[in-house]
Amino acid sequence: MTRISNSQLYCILVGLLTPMAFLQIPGLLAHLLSQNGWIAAFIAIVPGYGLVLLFNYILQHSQHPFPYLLIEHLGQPLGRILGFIYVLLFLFLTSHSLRLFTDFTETNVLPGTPISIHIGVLILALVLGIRAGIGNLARLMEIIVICGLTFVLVLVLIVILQQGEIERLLPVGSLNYNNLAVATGTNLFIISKLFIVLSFGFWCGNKDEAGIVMKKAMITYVLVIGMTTLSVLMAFGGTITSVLTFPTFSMVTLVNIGNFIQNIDIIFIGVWILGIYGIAVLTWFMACYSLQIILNLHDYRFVAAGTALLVGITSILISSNILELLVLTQVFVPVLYCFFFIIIPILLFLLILLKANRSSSLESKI
Amino acid sequence: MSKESIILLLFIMVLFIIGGCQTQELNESGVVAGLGIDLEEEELQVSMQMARPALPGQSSGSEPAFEVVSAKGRSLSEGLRKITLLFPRNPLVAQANLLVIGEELAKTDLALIADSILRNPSIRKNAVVVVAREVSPKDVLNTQVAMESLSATAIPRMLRNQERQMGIYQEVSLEEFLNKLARPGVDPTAPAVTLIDSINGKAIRLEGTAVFKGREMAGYLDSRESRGLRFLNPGRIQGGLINIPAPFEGPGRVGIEIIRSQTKVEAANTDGQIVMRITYIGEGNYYEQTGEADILRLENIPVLESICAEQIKSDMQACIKQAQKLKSDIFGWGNIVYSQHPAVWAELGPDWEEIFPGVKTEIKVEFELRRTYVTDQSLHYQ
Amino acid sequence: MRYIKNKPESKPSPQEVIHTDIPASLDEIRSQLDTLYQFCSDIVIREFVFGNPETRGLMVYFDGLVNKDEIENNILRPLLLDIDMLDVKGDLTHRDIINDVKTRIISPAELKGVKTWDELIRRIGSGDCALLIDGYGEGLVAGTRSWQSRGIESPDNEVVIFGPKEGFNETLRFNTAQLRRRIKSSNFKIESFVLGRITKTDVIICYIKNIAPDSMVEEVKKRVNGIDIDGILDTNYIKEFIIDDNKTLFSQVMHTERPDRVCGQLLEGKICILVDGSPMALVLPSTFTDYITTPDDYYTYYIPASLLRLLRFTAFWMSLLLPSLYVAVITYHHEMIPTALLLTIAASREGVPFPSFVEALLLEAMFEMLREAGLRLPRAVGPAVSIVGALIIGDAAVRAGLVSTPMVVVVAATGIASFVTPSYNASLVVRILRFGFLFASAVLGFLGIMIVLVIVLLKMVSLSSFGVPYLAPLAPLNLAQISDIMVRRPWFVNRSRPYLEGMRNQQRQGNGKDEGG
Repeated sequence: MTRISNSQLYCILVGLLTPMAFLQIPGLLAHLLSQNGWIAAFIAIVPGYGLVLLFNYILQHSQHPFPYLLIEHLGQPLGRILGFIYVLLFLFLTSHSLRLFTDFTETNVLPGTPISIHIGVLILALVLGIRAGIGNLARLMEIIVICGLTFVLVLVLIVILQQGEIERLLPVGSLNYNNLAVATGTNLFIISKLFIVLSFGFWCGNKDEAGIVMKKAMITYVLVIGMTTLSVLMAFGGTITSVLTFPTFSMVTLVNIGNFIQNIDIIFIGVWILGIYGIAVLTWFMACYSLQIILNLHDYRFVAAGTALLVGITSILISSNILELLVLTQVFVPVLYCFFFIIIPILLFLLILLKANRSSSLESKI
Repeated sequence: MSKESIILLLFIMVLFIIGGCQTQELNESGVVAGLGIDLEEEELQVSMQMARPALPGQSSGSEPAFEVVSAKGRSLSEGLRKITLLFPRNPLVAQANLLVIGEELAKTDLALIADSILRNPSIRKNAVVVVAREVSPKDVLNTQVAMESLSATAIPRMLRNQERQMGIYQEVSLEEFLNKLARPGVDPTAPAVTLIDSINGKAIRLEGTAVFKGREMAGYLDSRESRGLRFLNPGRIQGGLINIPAPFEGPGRVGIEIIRSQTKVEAANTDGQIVMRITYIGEGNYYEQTGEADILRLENIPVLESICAEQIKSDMQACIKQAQKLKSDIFGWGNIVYSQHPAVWAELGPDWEEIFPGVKTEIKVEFELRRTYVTDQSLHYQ
Repeated sequence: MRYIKNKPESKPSPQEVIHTDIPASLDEIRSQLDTLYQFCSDIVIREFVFGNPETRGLMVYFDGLVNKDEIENNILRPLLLDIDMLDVKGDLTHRDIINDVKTRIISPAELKGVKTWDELIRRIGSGDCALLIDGYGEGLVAGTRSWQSRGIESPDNEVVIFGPKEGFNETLRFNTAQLRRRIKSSNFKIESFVLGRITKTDVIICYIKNIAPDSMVEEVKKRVNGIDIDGILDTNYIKEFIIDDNKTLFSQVMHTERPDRVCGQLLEGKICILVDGSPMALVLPSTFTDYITTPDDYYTYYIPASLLRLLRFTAFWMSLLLPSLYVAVITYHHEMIPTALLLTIAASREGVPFPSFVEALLLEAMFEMLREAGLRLPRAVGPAVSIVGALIIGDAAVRAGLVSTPMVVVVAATGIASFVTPSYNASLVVRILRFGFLFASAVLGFLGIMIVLVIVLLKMVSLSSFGVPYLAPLAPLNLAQISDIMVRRPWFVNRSRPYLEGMRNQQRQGNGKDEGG
């Protein structure tokens, strides 16, 4: 398997977590907590750290990358079946992010173009990406993440300086704790995507360092989302933010540079395409790679073309209108994340712990 | 190139041939510089100021540089689209940087248009909002402005310039307007424009500030009250001029330029009674006097400063009085109470409309003179 | 007409002769030479007799390739006249004549014995002269090369303001001499190969041992040795055989005419290939970085050089994307343009019959044609064409309302920007890709541009040149080296070489005085 460097692993993780969340999460947080949304964004660092420890534990106590790891710990039939379910999950997530993105561009950028064309073009580019192999994808992710993070930083700074009014964040506190929990949870589900480190961690230079990389990626994510939420709230205030479908996008439209360059939303979307491409290609890669392991195939690259049709059709049929899609995004997908990326890893963790205990007690008996 | 790239290239070519997308060529579109909306006979009248494309060198003679097209619809989007029934080109609404709201519409209900404006991706949220006072938005858009080809670009420019020079009205962006409309504890305002008679027919003049109460317009602030509003909520643009009576005997006036204003508003809750504590700190430059008194002496500076402070305070009070009369919390005091005393707000919030007119204020103004420009003593006419 | 079918097989065919050894008998040599060089009017075969007892000898060379004075003074005169002055007094009885001739009689500086026709043919073809003596199956080849060649001129294609002005020319030896003059270390290796079945061209591979990774040198040698072609006339013949991925637009090998540039690259562990008869050197591995660097960068003070590099970087992106961005913005994303500008553009588009995309395509195609025409035209006509093209066609098209002025401005700006790109190879890539982006922007606007950009990036990250990733310091990221890409790192901090896999000595300054590594 191709080796990837630590910085590439970092970029892959950041690239998987951030772009989609960048668009969704600030709105969601504002919806739940109004002007205090940013608190939830930053609070997520605490349970997020727990997740990092969890994944790192599983990673360090396994010999094979996910999904073979499932077979390693759960045994032949169960692990294989679960692995297959993960394949479906990753395919679904790919279709979902594709659809969300194309729906977004459809409404905001190119109204009137059939959505199938958007999806078709993107899928072609994605298949090319998977065919290029994970080593090359990792390099691509490096470029994408560097461009993306720089852009986000500049954007946030401009917005805060131009449109930001700190009073719009007041009053701090007077939180609804239920909503705070839900908001932090939502944020946490995104962080749980770090799950893929169970595969990628094995290919990076040193497995032991994967934990640190994961930590860095998680902190980057929290900072990006926190800063974005802050700037959105400072630009719009809690009330308007909670109404907007994609507040980050609306924030971009407010920016102008030197009273000349204005409505730079299209540039935002341009950079954002790179991010979405990253998410989709990584989840899809996970699906293809898992399929290769589960079905003992020769090479994951050939699976890409085969699953392309599936992904395309799923993403078109996934929902009939944007409200349905939003419900899907805000309710169904988090549940999936929660189950597959948090609950199952916790179970795995307990299993490993149990096994370790048993073997150590065996050892002590001998 | 690899096989896949060729496939992709072919794909794009095919797309191109079947023409999957809607392109909007510029010569098939009309550039909408300004948008006007009014209510007329229960229908929304939408007017667009279409800029006539002309190269700077080629003056089109007597033709005005724009054309105003208007249509009526039962909703905003219908009105916007009905334009196409009488105009051959596709209007590019995204270019509009001025939104003129008719008085009739403002007095009726802003909800008629707010949702559509917020939802429509092509209406720019950083456009400037003004209210057409006693005239229809269509006429405002249809007026030619001296030295400017389009009134839609002229009005925002006038607003910006007068704020720096005169310091009366404040530019309000659509985003800010909608934001104040939606937030509890603050009501929106917008500068008003009207038409006056001049030598070359009608001309545009900024005249007062429209004050909204919730979704409806409640009334206007005159220019003094508008100035007071700006003192209460200074924006990013600094500047302005105040004119005070001369400090000593005589008929003269003294002009002071304001170079910096800063206002802090605190809500104090003293046994159930909300008191707003307003602290204004300002700096100014001595600009002129109309008399010949020897004003610029060190001992006179505090006198001048206190007169300025009085003037500023009275402007503020005038504004507060008018706003309380109109029951419209344009200062965002409700919001200040909410941010500083959330518990109090939870109690008062629902009845804020009733409480606001009775809110007491304590105004403290500090004003300091800094510079005197290129002369230190005034002329002595001998 | 009847074909003569049974041609007498008295003489072996030239093809058979080539692969045999040189016979001992001079008569046989003579007849084989006649077979080999039948109908070759430029060959000179001079027979003579020398010594005592009389020994027959023969001299072969090509007229025009040799220095006749040298042959006369250093070979023929000693043999025919000076031989008597030797201690043997011309008495060659019972002596190993050829050895005597070689070691004691004739005096050219470069002398070598050859045993096969194959080699002899190659040597005299490159301007040596061969001396054959009766009774010995061995030819003595003396280096007497001398022919008319272009002098060392400054290269037309790579002009620098500061720095050396010398360029390579068509003679391999002059070229290697220029390199050797700059790198005097014994670690600087120049390995020679002969390629081309018919042309038998000399090809050299040079590198600095210990700096260039051994594995890479081996790999290059292997690939070069694997080439089997009838003729090599230019370095590009070799390039197409040895690059990693031959299905891509991106050049993986750098062409240069400048010895100083080659030396600079050699010092970074690169390998250079030179071919006799071509002034273009190949430097490999070459990555995307070389698209925006020029030797001038390193001869100019680092601050302006860095800013110029930034400028060049901007120009690169501009020449790639400007027309497509313009088309995307004015057909899809009008809201981005400020109203005043939009009105100006709209005014000039008023009445233009073509869609923006077609307009852009037309002008771009026209521009490319003008550019190509300018290259091929005789010098005297060149300026005329550019005037006709630029002024008359451009202006007339605008006046006739066929194209809009901003589009002319955009295409012209793109053209200017594309000339900023220092590497001709790079500008070729950019010129082709530009049309791809144009198509994409016409179909999907900015979205299309970004998708094509992703695909291009994907291709670029997948490429490697002799094992070096194409976007090397950027992806995979190398923070230590990326600073030398974005700006030109001043020499005093430029302590290490760009890392190549397997490089043994990465240190440029300090840390040990080891010269070549």
